[in-house]
Amino acid sequence: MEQQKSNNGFSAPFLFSFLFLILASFGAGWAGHWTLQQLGVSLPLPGLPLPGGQRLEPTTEAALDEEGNLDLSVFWEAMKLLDENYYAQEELPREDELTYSAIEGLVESLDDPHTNFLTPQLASDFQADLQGEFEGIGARVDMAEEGLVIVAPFPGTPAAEAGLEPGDIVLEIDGRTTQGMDLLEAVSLVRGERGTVVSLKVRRPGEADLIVFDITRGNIVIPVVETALIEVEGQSPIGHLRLTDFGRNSVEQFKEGINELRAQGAERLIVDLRFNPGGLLNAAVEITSQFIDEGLILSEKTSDGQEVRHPAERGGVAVDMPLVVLINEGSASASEILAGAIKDTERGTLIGTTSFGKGSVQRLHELSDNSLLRITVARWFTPNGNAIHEVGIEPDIYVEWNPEETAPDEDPQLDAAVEFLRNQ
Amino acid sequence: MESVIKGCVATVAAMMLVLFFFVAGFMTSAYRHSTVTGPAYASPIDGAAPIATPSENFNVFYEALGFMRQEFYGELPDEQHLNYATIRGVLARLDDGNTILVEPAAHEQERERFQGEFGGIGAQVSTNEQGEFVIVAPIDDTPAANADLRANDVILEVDGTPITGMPIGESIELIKGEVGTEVTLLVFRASEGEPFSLTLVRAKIPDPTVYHEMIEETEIGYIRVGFFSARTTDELRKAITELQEQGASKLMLDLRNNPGGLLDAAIGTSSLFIGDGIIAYQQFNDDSRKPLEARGDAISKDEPMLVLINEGSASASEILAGALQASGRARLIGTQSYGKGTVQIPYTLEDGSSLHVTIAHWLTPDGIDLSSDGLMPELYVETTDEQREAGEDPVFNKAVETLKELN
Repeated sequence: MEQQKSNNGFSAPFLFSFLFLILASFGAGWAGHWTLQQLGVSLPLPGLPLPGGQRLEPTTEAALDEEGNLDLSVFWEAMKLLDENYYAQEELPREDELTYSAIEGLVESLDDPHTNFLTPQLASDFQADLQGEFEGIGARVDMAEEGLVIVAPFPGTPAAEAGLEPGDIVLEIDGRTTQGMDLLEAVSLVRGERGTVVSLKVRRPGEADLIVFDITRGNIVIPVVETALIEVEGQSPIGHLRLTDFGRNSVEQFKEGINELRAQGAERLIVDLRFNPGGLLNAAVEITSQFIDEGLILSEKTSDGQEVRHPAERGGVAVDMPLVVLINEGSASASEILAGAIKDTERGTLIGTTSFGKGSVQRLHELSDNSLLRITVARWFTPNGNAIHEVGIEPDIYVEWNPEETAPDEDPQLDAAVEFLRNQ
Repeated sequence: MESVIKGCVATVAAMMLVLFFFVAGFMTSAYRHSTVTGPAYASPIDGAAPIATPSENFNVFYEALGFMRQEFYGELPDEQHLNYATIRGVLARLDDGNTILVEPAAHEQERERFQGEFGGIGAQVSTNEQGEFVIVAPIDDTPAANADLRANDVILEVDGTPITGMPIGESIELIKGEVGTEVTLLVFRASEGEPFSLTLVRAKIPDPTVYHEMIEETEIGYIRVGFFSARTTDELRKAITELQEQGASKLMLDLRNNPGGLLDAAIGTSSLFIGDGIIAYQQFNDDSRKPLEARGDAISKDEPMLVLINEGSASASEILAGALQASGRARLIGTQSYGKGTVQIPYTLEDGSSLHVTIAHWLTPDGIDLSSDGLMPELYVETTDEQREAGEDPVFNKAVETLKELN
């Protein structure tokens, strides 16, 4: 009950929808929502070493100008006027909220949808999502007019074991009606400490009586990998692995997925990054390293011109498998790191449509009061030095697919990938 | 581009302000009052921490700024814009689109607009198809008229800067300036072969907000008020008097698409029609009400009158129309008004920017809070897009017809 169905029909983890919602209130544009990833979150806490050996400490000195002063007197003058005169006094942000609104104003003025600020409260929800796991019941949900809809329970979770089914409508959560409730609020009610119980009153389509489920919450790992075996007549099967996010648990799930497919006889692989909005830079490097044994995967350039190189890590589980990577306009950020490296090194073949084009790197800082500040700190470049920001990566084989205009079971891009690998 | 501009006010610039104030609405008090300290009625919530003193927690702001200065891939704002950014961050938390920050340059244009005058040369201007800056007509008794600038003269340069092809608003900004300063124009006149230089001394040019005329073959005087500046009450008084002298026994007051202006002008103009009593109430955060009373200087208390309003009539227009409707002085005709029922004071900050703060809501004399509903006319007449395109004005026609029948 902690995920939201994405518009594209794929299983976009709740993390991203959540971020999008948060960022919508920052005024980020539509196009931003694929790219609101933690690409480059290499520093969860101030003071930890950065890749490249830098250390960053929070500093107030850096806030000051050459004379050592930052004059905020116009700001304080405005605050005094509001304090003395504003009609709806109860709306004025006070104390901590004043600080946060000032930071929000600063962040907003930068005109960069990827530089964001989260107050401590939002930050703690976000941190949970960033971990790739949380405590709850484990279902993907969406909000509909009648209430909260179960899109799908994750396999092996309390939601699945209790018998929740896709299409179930949750009318009440612990006695509170879900009608008119906002999705985030509903999700936060369903979540809770493991071992505690949440009571859901459910209407199941086709059944007259309402069903009450009392479900004991557990620890839920967000699944980001889906695998399928594609049988090919007269040949070994092809493994199809869809990755929906580059999070902290993604590398392990990714490797497990490949190993499973291999155990089932797959000798060729399709990695599906369509509508994968990205995630952590380290996860991108590690996952790409499953296919590339040596050489550069990407390089970063900061605004002061420093270059940070990220080489492949040895020991990949699929360095020898014939490979197709599926991309589309929803493949962004970390997905583009993988696709860019595969393309430049000719390790595999890209099929689909031009990717999103997010070539910036963000770093996440936890401030002293546990709020989070995410800053765009660099641009990244493919192994051959190509800048992909606002350009995207061209597939080697261009195949379009508009899910709304084709039959539900048709996927011409996947078909093209199978056809390509059949000849390998 | 057939934009005729009264008194050399840029259409472009003026439009911006009109649109801007459509949202921003009207304000209490002119800028000369803007240093007034906060009224006693709007004291901070009891027991709440004042927001105007930094709390310890504000260090988190410096912490965030420190990280950004170290790492951000891109430019950070300078100190002045950093102040604006933080103010806007706070304003974004308010549920009030009318409490806004206006940066110094825009503030200056706004100030001119509210005062209804500025330093200029006094000409209606336009640009032609070639992008040339053309004098449409000099205004009587202004530097332009006194220097014998004529219709169809083309201005090629302003103080040595070529202006052909420049947006008209920018050209006008070059011509405008402080009263008493000189501006040199390079003028091309078809009848003289060669361009010639003309130096004029800028003077205060009124920017009229009131237009009036007798409607032919009737006893109806037509008055259009386009904006409520500090001069509007005087202009309207003069217009009414002139129409009365020309034999007007009935009046039509056109407030359509008038976005508002100064509260003081709303009271002043209402007082010209209403002898005594309440024009509007200001209601403050603590539910206290301050009545705004007629000034007792009415000059048109009895003539049958219709007030033309539409969805573009906002703020000060609604105070005037609402007072006339509630007191029974006039009926309204047209469509429902905009519904802008809040009052802002513009405070000038130390760097010359201006903070518009919503301090009150206003109510009609019969106690209706118009912050969302707007005024409903007694005579509901719509104008279709087809009629508008064909240049027809059914509201005006219906008003003439109705007034003719009144005695």
